[in-house]
Parts: sequence; structure tokens; C-alpha cells
Amino acid sequence: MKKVLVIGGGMAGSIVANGLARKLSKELNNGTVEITVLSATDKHLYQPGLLYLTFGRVTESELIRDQRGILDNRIKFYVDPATNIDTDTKKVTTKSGKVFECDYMVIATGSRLVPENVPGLSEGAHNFYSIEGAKKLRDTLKTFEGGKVVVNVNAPHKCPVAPIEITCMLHDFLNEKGVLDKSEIIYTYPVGRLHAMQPVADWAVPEFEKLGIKSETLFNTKEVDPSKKTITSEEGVTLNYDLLITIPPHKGQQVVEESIEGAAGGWAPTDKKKLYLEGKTDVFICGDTTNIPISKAGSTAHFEADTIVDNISSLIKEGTIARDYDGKVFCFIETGKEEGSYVWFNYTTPPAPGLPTKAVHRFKLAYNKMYWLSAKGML
Amino acid sequence: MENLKGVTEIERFMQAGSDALTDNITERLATTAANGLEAVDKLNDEDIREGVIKLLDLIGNLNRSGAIDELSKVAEITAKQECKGGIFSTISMLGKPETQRSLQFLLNACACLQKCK
Repeated sequence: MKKVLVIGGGMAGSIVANGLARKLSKELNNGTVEITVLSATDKHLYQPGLLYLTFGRVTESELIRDQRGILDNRIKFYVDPATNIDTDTKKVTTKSGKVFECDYMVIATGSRLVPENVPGLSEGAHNFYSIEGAKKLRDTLKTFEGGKVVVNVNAPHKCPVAPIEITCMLHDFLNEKGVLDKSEIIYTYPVGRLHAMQPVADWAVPEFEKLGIKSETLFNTKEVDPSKKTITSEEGVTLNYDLLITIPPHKGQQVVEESIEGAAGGWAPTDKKKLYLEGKTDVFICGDTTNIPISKAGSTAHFEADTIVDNISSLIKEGTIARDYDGKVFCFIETGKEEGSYVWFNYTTPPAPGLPTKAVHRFKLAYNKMYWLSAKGML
Repeated sequence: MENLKGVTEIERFMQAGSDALTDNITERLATTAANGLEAVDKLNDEDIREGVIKLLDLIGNLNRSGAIDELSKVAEITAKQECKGGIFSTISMLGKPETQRSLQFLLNACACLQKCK
């Protein structure tokens, strides 16, 4: 029997496990393949929906489902996070003390927020990258009567265009609330332009100008003083704020950082085409956990997962790898509450975002509701 | 000229569709489509697909033989019947051939199901 162990029950882990269950359906039924998923939680969160939770557009319950229900019922599922990953022996020890052995391993443990890496950031800033954070910001925005809002972006972070989206949506929210004329929105970014990707940065300049959004680029956050309500950069710029919204810096999971050699910051060294852990041909890395220098996004995880599903099923059935990952990423960009655009790119094609339209905005809303089909490995 | 008119009409039609839609309508339609696809997706499982096909055939047979209509009538009659209660009424009911046949059917069904894995 071939055993596949998927570590992580987020989007990447779920798509890999469900995709394998589809491709290896007969083998699962006749007992020659076993798929196991280890997760830190029994709930599955649709993370991109947090942006909409912030503006009261969706409720928490719409963004969460039971993880067991997401997975094919033939997949073994344990809420028992990994505490040690041995990629040489392909053995994983979990919090409960169990040891899982496998023939093929997929590490899809995702990323975590580390606002504590910047002094004062946790105490002084809101963020919408967690359920609790998005709900707290939503409640604050409800009573916000205008003032200086700083949208502060730190790197690395997942959802590459989410900072631009929240900035544009915030503009429309304040406008609708009738407090835009009493407000000022300032967007800070750690490199010398509005976005890490040059074409997206070029696209964002006229969009921000149209909305009257100011920016402070080359702003690497040094500290926040919640009592004085100031945020200061390593470059020596200090901004006052009435409301500070941050995209906190991210790291990979601690278990990856501690278990895998060369996984600086918790990002595992990954072959950018085969998606192997470098030096191993039976350990795959998927989603945010890779150290591939492309955006950490849901779509990245999705396209990588599809590649890994094809490759593991091909290895099990025919003993060979099926195909390479081409670096594809696709992101919708909400440019306000009523219009949206999108951007896609891969290793050879640079991004080229188009003009925002209502149709793309609606497409994004429709996708939000169809996300569960992706997690189930159908879309 | 005629072509241009056609293009304008299509554009107007698309615009009307877009203007008539709201975010909420879009979300409701997408939710329905997603739920529908989720249910249909179950048919990709060979066992479920075969089971559904057998069930559909069974429904067809039941309908052709008039059994579905009879079942509907039985439900109607049962709803109208009074239940007197008491042990003697039950004993009297057990004595009727149709009750005995029904019990036989249920016992056979249970015996068959016990053979399943």
C-alpha cells in the first residue's frame, strides 16, 4: 500500500488531498492507496473572504465550514498538528505523540502572522488577516467618524493585492458613510513603489490618484507608538494616524522552520517547477510554505496543488512525474465596492492588470461563493 | 448598418443584464450554482452514480406499476384512519392478512439488509 500524508488542512492541503482522492479513486477503494490529512483545526476558513467581513459584506459563518465535510470521506483526517517533520525517514510526529509514516509527503502548513516582530504593531494596529482581526476592524469602522487612516504594508505577506483592495474599498466605504471629506488615506509600502510587481505598481498609481489616496513608499516599519498614535519607518519617516490598518509581516510555520534544513523564516526550499523539497523527490511543498519567489496567494496554492496531484498520482500509477508547475498566479483586485479588475502571470508572462469593471467585481463575488468547489478539488 | 444594429442590441442586452443584477443576486445565484454542482459532483463517485441510476430505475418501475400512486393513497387513507389504541385493537389488527403480509415484507427487508456489508 502507498501512503500519502498531507500536512495541513488549508486550501493547499485540501485541494491536494481531494484531488488525489479523485485521481486515485480506484486505488483508494481497493485499499492500495491511503491518504491522510493532518490539520491544526477542525474548521476550514475561506481567507480571502476576510476582506468582505471587514466591511460587513459577509458574516463569519459564511466563511467557515467543517474541515471533515470538505474532504472526501475516504481520506483519513486528524486534528493533530505536526510537531516534527523528518523528511529523510518520512515520519511525522504530532502534538498527541502519534507518529505517521508515509511514502509521499506533502507539506502545506501555510503561513502565520508575526506582528510581534514590529514593536507596538500588535497593540496599535488593526489587521484583517484573521477572523478576530477582521471583526474588530469592522466594529471600529462602524463608529469611525473620519480622520487620518494609514494602511501599512509589511513583507512578506500573503494575498499580494489585498492591501490595494482594502485601500480602495476603504475609500468607497468612507465615501458611502459620508466621512470621506473628513478623512485622509495614506498607503505605505516597503519598496520604492506601490507594489512589489512593477506592472501592478504602475497600474495602481492612476487608480490611487483617481481616489485621492496618498502614499509613502520605501517605508519599512520600525515601530508603532500606540499612545502617541504614530508609526515610524526604518527610513526615518513618522506618520500620525487616527486609524492604523496593517498587513503584518508573515512567517512560515515554526514546525517547518525547526524541522527542515534551510527553511529560513519557515519557508521550505522548493524546486520551483517540480515543487519537490530540494533534494527529495517524494516530499512536495505546496502553497505559502514554499520559498519560491512568487506571490503567496490562494490561486498559487491552487495551481501548485493541481501540479502535485498530477505528479503524485502519476508516480503511484506509473512511477514517473507528470508535469511542471509554470508559476501561474491569478488574483482578482477589488478596486472599490462596485468595480474590480484581475491580474494573472506566470514564470514567463509578466502581469498586466486591466481596467476595472463591474462584471469582474461580480465575478469575484461569485467566485467567493464557489470557493468550496475549489477546496473540494472540483474547480 | 444591420450588423451595427445587432451589435448595439446585444450590448444593450448585456448592459441591461448587468444593471439589473445586484451583488446580492449574484451571490445568491452563485451559491445555488455551487450547491447544485456540489450535489452533481457526487455522481463522479462510481458507487454513488450506480446507486442513483438504480434508484432512478426503481422509481420508474414503481411508477409504471402504479405503486407510487398506491403509496400515495395509502398515506392518505392512513392519515384519515382513527387509531383507537389499546392492546385488543392491536391484536385484532395483527390478525388481518394484509397486516401479516406487511410484517412479512418488513422482516424480509431486514433479513436482506443484514446480508449487506
